[in-house]
Amino acid sequence: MVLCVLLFSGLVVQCRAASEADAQSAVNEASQRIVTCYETVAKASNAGANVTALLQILNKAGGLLSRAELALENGDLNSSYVLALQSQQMLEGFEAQALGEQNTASHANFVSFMINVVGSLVGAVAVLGGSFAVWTQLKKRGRKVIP
Amino acid sequence: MNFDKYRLAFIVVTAIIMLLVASPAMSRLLVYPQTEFFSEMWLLGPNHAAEGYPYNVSNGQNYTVFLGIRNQLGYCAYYVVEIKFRNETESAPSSFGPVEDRTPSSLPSLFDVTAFVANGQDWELPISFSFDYATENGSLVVFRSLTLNNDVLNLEGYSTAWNATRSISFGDLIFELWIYNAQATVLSYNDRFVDLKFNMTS
Repeated sequence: MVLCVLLFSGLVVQCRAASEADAQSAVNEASQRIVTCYETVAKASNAGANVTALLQILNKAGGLLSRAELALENGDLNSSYVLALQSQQMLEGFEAQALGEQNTASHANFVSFMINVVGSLVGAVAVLGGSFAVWTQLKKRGRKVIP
Repeated sequence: MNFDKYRLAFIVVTAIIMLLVASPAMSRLLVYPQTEFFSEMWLLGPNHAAEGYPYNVSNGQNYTVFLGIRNQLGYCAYYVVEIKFRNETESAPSSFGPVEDRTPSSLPSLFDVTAFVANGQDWELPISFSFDYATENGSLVVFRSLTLNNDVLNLEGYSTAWNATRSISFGDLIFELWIYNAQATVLSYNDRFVDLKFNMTS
C-alpha cells in the first residue's frame, strides 16, 4: 500500500506541468551551473590541460540552456523546464572530470619543468664544470710532459 | 705540450655545448610574450566564403550563413552571441571609435548563442534562417517570426517601412559578441558585432 502511494506520488511529480516559477528556477540553476563549470574548465585550461572535449560538452549544455530560455520567453514552460534539466544533467560529473584533467596537466607540467628547465640548466652547469676539470687536467699533463 | 693556444677553441666548444644542453630551458625563457589579446568574429556566406551573402530576402525562403569566433585572449573564453533584428530607425550597435563609445544595440536579444572557446581555437556555427512576414499596403513589411536553426523566434511588433530614396525595405540581422567577465561575474559587450543587411522583398 505504502509502495503504491509512493509510486503514485512520484508519478504525479513527474507528470505535472511545470509552473513559470519551476521553469525560471530550472533555467537559473542551469545558468549558474554552466558558469561554475566554465570557471572550473578555465582553471584546467590555464594549467595546460587539453579541454577540447570538456568544451564540447559545455557548448552542448549552453545550447540547451539557450533553447530553454527561448522556450521560457515564448511561454512554453514544460519545454523550458525539460531543456534546463537536460542542460544540468549534461554537466553531471563535469567538475570532477575538469579537476582530473587539471591535476594531470599540473603533473605533466611539473615533470616537463624538471626535465626541460631544471635538467637542462643542471646539464649546462655540469658541462661547464666538466670542461674546467678537463682543461685543468690537460694543463697538468702538459706541464709534466714539457720538462 | 702547450695547451694555451687551444684555450679559445676550448672555450668556444664548451660554450656551444652549454647552449645546446641549456636550449630546452632557454626556449621557455626566451619566448616572446603575446602582447595583443582580442577576439575575432566573422560571418561567411553559404559557400563558406566572404561572398554570396543573402541581400534580397523573400518571405519563407531559407538562407544559410556561417558565424565564427576565434579566441586570442590567452585564456578559455565564455562568449554569448546575442541575435537581434532592427529596421532602419532602430538602435544599431557600434564597434568603432573610443572603447567607451562602443555600445550594443538597445533592442532585446531574440536568441542567445553560447560559445565556449579555448585560447587560440576557432568556433563556428552554421546558421540557417528564414523570415515570416507580410507586406501591408505595399509599403510596410510586418514581421511575424524568424526561424533560426529550427527555433522559431517571435518577431511580433517588428516592422520596416519602404524607403523610397534607397528603394529598400531595410532589415538588419545583428550578431553581437558578449563575453563573460569572471571578475564582475557578468556578461559584457565585447565591442564587436557582425550583421546582415537585407532588402525585404515582397
